[in-house]
Amino acid sequence: MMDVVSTAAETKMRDQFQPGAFIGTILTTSGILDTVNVYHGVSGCHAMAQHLRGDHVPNGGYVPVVGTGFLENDAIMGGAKKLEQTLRLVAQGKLAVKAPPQCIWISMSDCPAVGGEDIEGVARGVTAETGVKIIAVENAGFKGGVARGTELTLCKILDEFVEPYDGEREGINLIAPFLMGSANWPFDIDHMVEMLKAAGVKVNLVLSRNLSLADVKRFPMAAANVPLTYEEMPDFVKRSDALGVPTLTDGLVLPYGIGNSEEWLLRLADEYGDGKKARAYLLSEMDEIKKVVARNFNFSWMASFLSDKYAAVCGYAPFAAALTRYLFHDLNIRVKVVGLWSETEAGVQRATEILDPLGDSLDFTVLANPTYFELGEAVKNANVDFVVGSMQDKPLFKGYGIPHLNLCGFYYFNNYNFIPWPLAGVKGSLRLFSEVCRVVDDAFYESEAWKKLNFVPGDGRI
Amino acid sequence: MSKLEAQGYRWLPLKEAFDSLPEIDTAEFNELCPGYEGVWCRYLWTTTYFQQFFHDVVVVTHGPLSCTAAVKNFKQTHYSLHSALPFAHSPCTNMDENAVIMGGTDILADTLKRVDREYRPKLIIVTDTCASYMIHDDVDAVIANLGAEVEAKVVYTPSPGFAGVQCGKAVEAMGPLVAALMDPPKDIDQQGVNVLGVYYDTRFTEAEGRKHGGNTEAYAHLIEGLGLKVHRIMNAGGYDYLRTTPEARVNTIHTAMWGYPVARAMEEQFGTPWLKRQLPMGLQGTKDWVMELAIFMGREEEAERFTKAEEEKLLSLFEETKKLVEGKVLLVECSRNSQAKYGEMLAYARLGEELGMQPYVYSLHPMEFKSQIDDLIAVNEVEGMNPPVLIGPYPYHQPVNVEDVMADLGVNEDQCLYIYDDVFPYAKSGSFDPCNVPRYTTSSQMKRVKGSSFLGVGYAGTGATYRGIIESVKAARRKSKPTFYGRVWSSTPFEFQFAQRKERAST
Repeated sequence: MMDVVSTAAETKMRDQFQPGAFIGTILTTSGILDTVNVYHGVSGCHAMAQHLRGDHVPNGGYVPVVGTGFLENDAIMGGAKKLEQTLRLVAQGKLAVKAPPQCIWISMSDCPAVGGEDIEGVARGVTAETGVKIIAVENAGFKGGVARGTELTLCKILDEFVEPYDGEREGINLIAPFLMGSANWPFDIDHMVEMLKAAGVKVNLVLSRNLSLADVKRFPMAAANVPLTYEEMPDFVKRSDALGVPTLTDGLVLPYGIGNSEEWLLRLADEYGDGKKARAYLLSEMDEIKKVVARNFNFSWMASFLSDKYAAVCGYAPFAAALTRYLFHDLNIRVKVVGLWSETEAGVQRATEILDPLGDSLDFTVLANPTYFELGEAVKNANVDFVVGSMQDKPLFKGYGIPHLNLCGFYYFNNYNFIPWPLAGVKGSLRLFSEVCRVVDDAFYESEAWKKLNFVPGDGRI
Repeated sequence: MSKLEAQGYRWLPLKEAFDSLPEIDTAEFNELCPGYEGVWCRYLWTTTYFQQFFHDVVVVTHGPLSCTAAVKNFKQTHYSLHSALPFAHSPCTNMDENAVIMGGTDILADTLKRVDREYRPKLIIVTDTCASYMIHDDVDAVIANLGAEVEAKVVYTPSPGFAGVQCGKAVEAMGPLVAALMDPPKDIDQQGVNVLGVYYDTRFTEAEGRKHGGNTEAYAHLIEGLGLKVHRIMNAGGYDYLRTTPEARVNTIHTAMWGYPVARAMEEQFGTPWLKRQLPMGLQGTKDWVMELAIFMGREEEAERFTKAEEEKLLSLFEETKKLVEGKVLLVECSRNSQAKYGEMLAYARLGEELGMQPYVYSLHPMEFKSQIDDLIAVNEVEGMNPPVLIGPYPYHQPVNVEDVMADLGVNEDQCLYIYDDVFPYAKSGSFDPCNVPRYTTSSQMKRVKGSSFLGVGYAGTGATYRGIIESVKAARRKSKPTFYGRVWSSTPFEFQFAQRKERAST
């Protein structure tokens, strides 16, 4: 049975890791490599933007985020002059880049937003002067979370760069890969594109990952958008519909683990590609997996050891739902608590719909947007062997004495994801399995006893 | 004219450099150093400074969820992971556009009641953010109206992110807020000594389960060496530990930037005297710190005996280190990203001077420099140090290149020792790498030495630093096989390229 608990519905109070709207802009635009971000606001928010921008770097590119130097006096008197000066330097290729960028995006923090800073006006002025396109996004932290910021930015992109299209449409646009909730998302999305290509599905655009600004003009050539988030994005969907590109809004399970990968790929291949190719590809991928693990006693040992253990999962709704299914279906691990984070009700609803069938064969509790406190207490009471979460909640669960594996959240920070291998897809099962083995070791190795029983030379002699 | 000179940089003695700078956050300053904004903000400091150090205190953020994410994204998590601070529960009023327009006091009241009921902390601190502060939400009135519905003590600490330069004025402002949480002393422990200004670390010792602490042990060693008692090491512990801080006879200082504002406020509120020397590092630096305390407590004889005995233990190591580095230039890079926190780097400079090195301080952003008056007092007025500092534009936080600094000073790889703060040390295989230029990690973020203070203080910290310097100098003798990090940042990652590069440079 699946029990869904949502104390979040009773209150506006939250305690969860949800970066603000401007981070949605930074994550979207950092995948458009011939552009620059200018951040207008307070340094604490700027630091987060700088950190999360780096998610696009592995096998991707470096899009600078330049702060304008907003200080206390600017909060009082207005900081437009600093914004203008920074934009001009960037547009002239004198700051952060060596040549004028194709576009400059402006993000802002709460302080200039509440103060009513006219960032649109400044943008227009510098564009007129330098000829460089400058797009201002009203994306202060209080405007919403990272998903809302992504939506605001996608809308700007469609409004400013995408023309109506009457030609033939083929393939799909993959939308907002960084909202999947995987700490390995850069390598996961790259592999998902490989999977789709192998299944005859044309990936028209990944919005955004390793693009140039010119690439985004291809947007309306796709037959559909496949969002990699469960969040509702009505403004984006409406604009995209108007361009003739419908958006898949039902919750499609993400391809983590073999069962989920099969479901995800065949659904997309049957609709947008070549189902036969997809099936052949899955078989060939499975052959590759077998080359590593079949008849491998080491694998059999660990696969047997993992079976029947108890776990909890906590993360952004799409990834947390997929991992829950993976742990239960693929590894025979009983997931007792699932913490789902989502900015919109639709996000939680789609994830619970995906998890609902598990209720016939597994008893577990789903917490919708829990506080860390609720999550920690629920996990403690469930007496699980380990938790899969993000780096930010590692100290919480380790504080309860529960082993923790950080696979969720964003690529940054302290995730050791330097090997460009996916967690997604059939191929990714090898890495997922390896990661889960490590945390199960942490749960069951008797390391405290080793310390107590360690041999001490001379100890016990009279 | 050197490259740095052409870019508008010049060396000035510390005090003269400070005096040469205009007032911060003025048009004149912004002209001199365009694009400065810092790395953190007052809200970030408040939520880490208060919440994480005191394990039974919950900080309620009145603002958007994004503000708590900005703290959790790196700082709170990093402090938990590497400095043994507890996980920070961070309930937040999740302020949205509607609340910005209509006000969010009802949500704040609801949040405070929930936190009191569910989390049951001893103390709740309400911090506001840029948005809630700017709309003038009346937090005090919300707290006053809670009445008996909330059992915990609730305190409001204004903390909008935009207020003050992040590493100077914003920290200064917190001193009175910390002192305001303390109770007037019932009794004064005549042997009790506090250490103020330890940030970034808990008071837990390695004996209590820390993997890499050593800082508390270092101060306990110095204080107990005089027959005195450690009363409180701040900020750390729980609410009761914090509120009874004024029961010590005297406050000593770890870092001026974090310690002086609290010490001043405690002096004003409770009459607690305080001593101004900071960062006991190096043989003389440690002795000076100990003697200042000894003189105040009337323990000079014990101090002479104690310091002599401790110095004797380190003397041969000191001599060995001095032999290797005497006459070298000490390249003191404050920080390539934030260009802040120069007090600790100047303490290493002082240690370097004791070893016969000549420190040169650079990548100290003029805004951070000017806004940290307490560090200047500690370093210059109290200790009399006045090393050369590189003053210049540092536009948009761009650090200067250490190879340009070396060229400017006319020194080669064998004539210097490079130390750095924070993350991102400079390295480029083929020209500047730990394999050919001695590089020692002085970053409090990165330095961890088992059984020693990672902040480098006390005799154990000094000994570890000497050993580290010796090892760095030895490592740089190999002149080949650069580090992975240096190769990644270089256009000449392989050694077969070095000869070609030198050839190109010579032609």
